[in-house]
Parts: sequence; C-alpha cells; structure tokens
Amino acid sequence: MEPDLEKPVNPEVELLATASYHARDAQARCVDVAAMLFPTGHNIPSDALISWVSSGLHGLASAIQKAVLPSLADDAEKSCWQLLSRSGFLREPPLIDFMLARYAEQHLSVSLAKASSVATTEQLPALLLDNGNPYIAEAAQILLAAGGMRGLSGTSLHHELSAELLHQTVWRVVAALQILQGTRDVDVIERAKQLLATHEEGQIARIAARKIVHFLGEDEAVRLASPETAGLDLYISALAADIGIDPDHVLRLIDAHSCAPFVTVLKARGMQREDAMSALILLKGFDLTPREISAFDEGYNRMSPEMARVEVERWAIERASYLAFSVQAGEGA
Amino acid sequence: MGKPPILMQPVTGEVGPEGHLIRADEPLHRLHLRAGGIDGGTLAIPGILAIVRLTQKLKMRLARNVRVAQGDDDFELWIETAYHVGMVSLSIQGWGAFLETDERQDHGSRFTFSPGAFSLQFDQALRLIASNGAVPDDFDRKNFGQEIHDILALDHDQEMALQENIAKRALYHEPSIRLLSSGNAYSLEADPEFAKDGVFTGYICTFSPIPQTQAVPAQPAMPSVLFAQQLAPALRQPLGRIIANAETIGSKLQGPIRENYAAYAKDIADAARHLVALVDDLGDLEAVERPDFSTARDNIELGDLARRVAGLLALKAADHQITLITPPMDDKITASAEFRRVLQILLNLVTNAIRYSPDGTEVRIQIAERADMAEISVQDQGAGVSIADQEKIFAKFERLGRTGDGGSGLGLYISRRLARFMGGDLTIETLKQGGAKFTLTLPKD
Repeated sequence: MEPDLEKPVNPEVELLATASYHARDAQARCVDVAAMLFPTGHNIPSDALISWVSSGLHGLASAIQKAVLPSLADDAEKSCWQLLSRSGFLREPPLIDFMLARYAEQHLSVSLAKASSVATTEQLPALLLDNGNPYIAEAAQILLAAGGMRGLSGTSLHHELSAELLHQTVWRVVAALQILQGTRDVDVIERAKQLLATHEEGQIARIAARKIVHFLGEDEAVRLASPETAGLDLYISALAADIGIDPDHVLRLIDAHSCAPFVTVLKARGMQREDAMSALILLKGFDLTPREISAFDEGYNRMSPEMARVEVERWAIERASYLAFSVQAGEGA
Repeated sequence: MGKPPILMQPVTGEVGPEGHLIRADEPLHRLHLRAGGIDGGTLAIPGILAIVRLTQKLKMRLARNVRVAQGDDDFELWIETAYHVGMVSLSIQGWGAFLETDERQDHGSRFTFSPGAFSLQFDQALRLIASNGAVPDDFDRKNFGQEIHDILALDHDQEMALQENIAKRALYHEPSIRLLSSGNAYSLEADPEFAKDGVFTGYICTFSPIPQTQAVPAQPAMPSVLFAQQLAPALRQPLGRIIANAETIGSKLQGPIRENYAAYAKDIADAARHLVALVDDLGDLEAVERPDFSTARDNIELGDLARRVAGLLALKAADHQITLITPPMDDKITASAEFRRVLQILLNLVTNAIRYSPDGTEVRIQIAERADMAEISVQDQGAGVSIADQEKIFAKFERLGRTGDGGSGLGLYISRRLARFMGGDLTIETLKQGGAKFTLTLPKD
C-alpha cells in the first residue's frame, strides 16, 4: 500500500516521501525472500495451510470490522486489511498460533470422522446432553452446536478467540479504522466495547469441552481415553488437562508432520501401547509412514511416562515463552 | 477414588473496582476469611483475584478453571465472571472440590428416594456440601456451606439429641423436624459417613416429607440472616465512603466551590446517612423477626442511661435549639434488660422527639417505677399522635404519611419488639398539654 501522504505541501516532499518508502522496503524484502528461501521450520507449510490461515485471518478481521463499522465500504475494508497486515499485528505469534490450532482442529476432525466407526450421535458430547449435572449438559449443548458449525463457510472465528486475544484484535482493528477515517469515531468505539462485552468465553467449544472434563465423573471419564468415543474436542481437552498443557498446544502437537510428538504426549499421559496405537491410527492414520509405525513399535514401551512428561513440559514452556515474547527455543541470550 | 460430590448451585460473589469482596455466598466468604481476608477487604484468594483483575482489565465475560490452594492441597474450580461498571460478578461452579477427603462415596446412588424426599450431605464440620433428590424449591443456595444448625429448626431436645448422636458418630432418627428455610416438616434419617480408613467424613441426612395429617402446623418461614450478615456490611462501606467524600466536598476542604454545590454535597451526605440508618434498621428488623432471637439480662440504671442518651444527642438537639431534660442525679431505678437494646430504643425515641418537635422546645426524659416494672419515658412538645394512629405508629414501615425526614418507619416497630422480647413494652400517649409521651416499661431488677 502506498502511504497516505495527506496532501503534501509540494511535489518535492511527495517525491522524497515516496522514495523513502520504497527505499526502506528493500530491507523488508530481504527478510521476506530469506524466509521463503530458508524457512526456519523443519517442515515447510503447505499451500493449503497458508491459504487456510490467510483466509481465516482475513475473515476474522473482516468480521470484526463489520461488527464495529457495519457501513464500511468494500474499498475501505480492503484498505483496513492492508493496513492491519502491514502493521505487523496479524503476524503476532498468539494469533497465528490460534489460526494454526483451528486448522489442526479441522484437519483432525476430518481424519477422525474418516477413521472412526462410532457415529457422532454415539460420542460422548451427544450422550452428555441428558447428564444429571446441569453444567455438563449445558456445556455438551454448546460443544455440539460448535462442532456442527465447524468447517461451515462464513463461520466467524472471532467467537472462538479467547477474551485476551479478541480484546487485542478488536482494538487493533478499531485503531486501523480510525487511521483510515482520520478521526476518532465514538460509535465505532462503542460498538467495539459492545462486541467485547457480549463475547462469552463459556460459549467457545474448547472452553465448553474443558468445563465438561472438569465436571465429568469417573464413570464417564473412562470414555475420554479414546478420540472415537470422546469426540475430538473432549479428547483433546482431557489429554491437555491430564498432562497440564494448553489444548491448542495438544492440537498442534498432534497435527505435526511427524507422529512422534503425539506419541510422546500419549506416553506422558500413561496410555497403554494398544490404546496409544488406536488413538494414533484414528487421528494420524492417513499420515503414518511405515518408518513411523516401526519407530513407535520399538520406542513406545521403552520410553517411560516420566521421560515423556519432562519433554512435554519443556515444549510447553518453550511455547509459552514464544507466544509471550516471540522467542524461539535456542534464540535469545 | 471418585471425584468428590459437587454443589449443583453455583457459589456467587461480587468484587468491587478495587478488588474488594463486596458480597459473597457463605462458602466463598469463608474461604476468603480462611485465606486471611477481612470483611469488605481485598479478595484474598489469589487465583480468583487474578481472574477478577483480568475481567476488569478486559471488561469481558470469562470462563476459566482456576486452581486455588486450600490448606496443603490445591483445588480446581470452574469460574465464570461478568463485568458491570467496575464490578465483577463471580459464579463459581463445582464448589464440592473443597471437600477435605476425596474418598467419599457417592451418596446419590445409594438412596432411592420416596416422592418428595431428598438428602443433604454435610462434611466433617457439619457444613452442607451437597444435595440430592427433590430438594424444595425454596431451599436457598446460600444454605450451602452453612452448618447443620443453621439449616434445621431444632428445639432444645432435638438439639441435644442431635449433638449427642453426632458426638458418637451414630445414626440419628428424628420423626419430625423442620427446615429453617421453609418451615416444612420432614422425618429425618442421619447416617454418619466414613472414609475407607475409618475417618469420619460427615453425615448424609435423608428428609422424607411427613403427610399433612401428621405434620405439626407449619410455622412461618424464618427469614435468613442474609441482610445483616451479608448485605449490610457490603452496603455500609460504600455508604460510609459517600458520606465522607460528600462531607469533604461540602466542607470545601479540597478548595472553594459554589455555595449551591456545597449544599448539594450536604444533601448527598444526608441521604447516605439516611441509607446507613435504614441499613441498620433492616439488620435489626431481620434479627428481631427471627424466632430464635433472644436478649441478654443486664442491670441497667435508667437515670444513667437517660443522661448517656442526652449526651449522645446533645449536638443534634442543639441544632434545633431543643433542650434535653434528664432525670435528677439522685433518681435511681434499676431495670433488668439488655443494655445495648434499651440504649437503642431510647436513642430512637429521643431522636424521633428531636426530629418531630418544633425548634426551641423541650424533650424530657423521665424515669419511674410501678409495681415490679421500671419505666423510662420520653416526652416532647410536638404535635402529638392522634388516638387513631397510636397503634398504627408501631406497625412496620408506618410513616403516618411523613416523608423526607430521614425516618424509615421501622424504628418504633423494632423498639416495641425489642421491649417485648425483654419482658416489657413500649406505649404512647398524647398529652393534654400537647406533645407525645413514649413510655418504655421493663422488668425491675
């Protein structure tokens, strides 16, 4: 996007400003090309993943813009998106991590649906609708409704954001709109406050799943051990609660290119080899290579749950550090 | 080991902008105190305070599980918060995690309830922790966390029998017992509970409704102590702050302001004072209407009491150029009643006399004795009270058409109830020469 030079006082100032803008872009281009040629991750993200995250972020920003400024014209919306994307905010790790977790969620639910022989009506969330504990029954309703919406086009992701992330995102969008409008629009601010005030974390699927796991009795908790009987949300939530890490982290570990992180998580939870294998096939069956199966076969029983737990805890600390300070493992110091 | 039973009703509370616990259901209040907090002070439970602060910062509704410490153990609670103009309301679900042992059996599965029957589970300290079955609709969620004695209406014999059986950890059967919340009668079976290692973990009490033909006529429901114990302290603090701030503004200590603004500040302080008085009255009302309300017996020298009251209200009387006349020093009559309650009644009577007397008149406090009763009276030179209104004036919330004078319509009602609780009475007469005379009679010492 060309900078808005706000009516330059004379042509030479305009020329200099444009020159400066493009001259400085040279450094940014350097960084961009290096990232494309030499990605820092071991596994290069697929085009499908990049496209999903990109459209997800666009949809997120667009939904918030529409909520706070319904009359926003298309070209202004485009400008707002450009401003946000150049601001660096949309590149911030917590937001990208959130999008990647949602991608993993979608990917894994498709894998589970293909591999599972248990109908969703027989999975735990549906069975919990009549649970005697009203907290569980209510959360099961939320979970089922959210599960039904998953993957539908037009579903707005901003309802899925944690309070902190939505708060941050909404005010960034408001700031971008104000820059574009060149004025402080009180109505936009009021609508933004309203949007935040009406957001209910309790209505988010993964929060509802966490709530169910929190309240579930021992008899029903047995069903949480398998993704097939628990359903993806409850399975992830129970796994995360058992090993004390964030459910989005679990999703991303399971959705990694290798099955090894998931295997380690299963070991940390103390799963028996057969149950671990079953979970692996249900969620990663389509991606498993013979080499991975062999590595699992040889290594699973030799790894102790303590070893696995220590390793998973280390990952959790590294992730928390990265999301908070954008410092990757091995960086800094 | 199974998960401990949980409360089906959320435990609620409200936290103010500064993090002060403004209101809390009893279990939360108790935890706050155990954690070193004080009434009206900053919420002392760090895990919950953190989510409150986050709610205030974001001004959003949150739903999180929070880990809190209780003794040597940690517990997870599910907390949902909502923000409203600086205040954060808390809804804490699954309070049962606070049980001291997790080796309890699930009592819900052990009983088949007859129609209308229900059970209440009490912990080692005999605090209500769970319910099951057809718990009556009017059974208030605030009962959770309360002790068994605050839930059951026990007469002396029942109280003794219950204590004896609890001490022995024995089964206890009571053919007819009432719930304080509704006054309804039930038969009670109380089963002691033990963990696998034999440690006593509490009681499960099963309540079965008694058919109407067997039931003793229902007594009126007892009011809870919600107001005096929970709302009144929460209201007094902000009201006190309003009064202090309004007085600071009105006194122009912070700098000059327009005279009419200073007058508004005085109005605000007066209105807040009125609310404080109302809060006090409502707390007293709640107390005197409890069937188990009782008073102590002190020896009260009425002449001395009269002079104390006159001293306390001298400034108020001087504001209206009213002269307070007290009994001569050598008049001594001693009554047997609770000192602070008699003082409360007399303060109320003299305040009313000052409030409703023309400026520049006299209010006379006199003492006398008749047979086995002692009397203290307050006589003013106001308009008096018509014969028709003389009984009405002791009714609850009766103002005789007056408004805006700072009264709540509860003072005389409470005073008469207090007088009667102490074996005396409070009466009124209109004097021939004008004015009203209120006479408090009390048993002589």
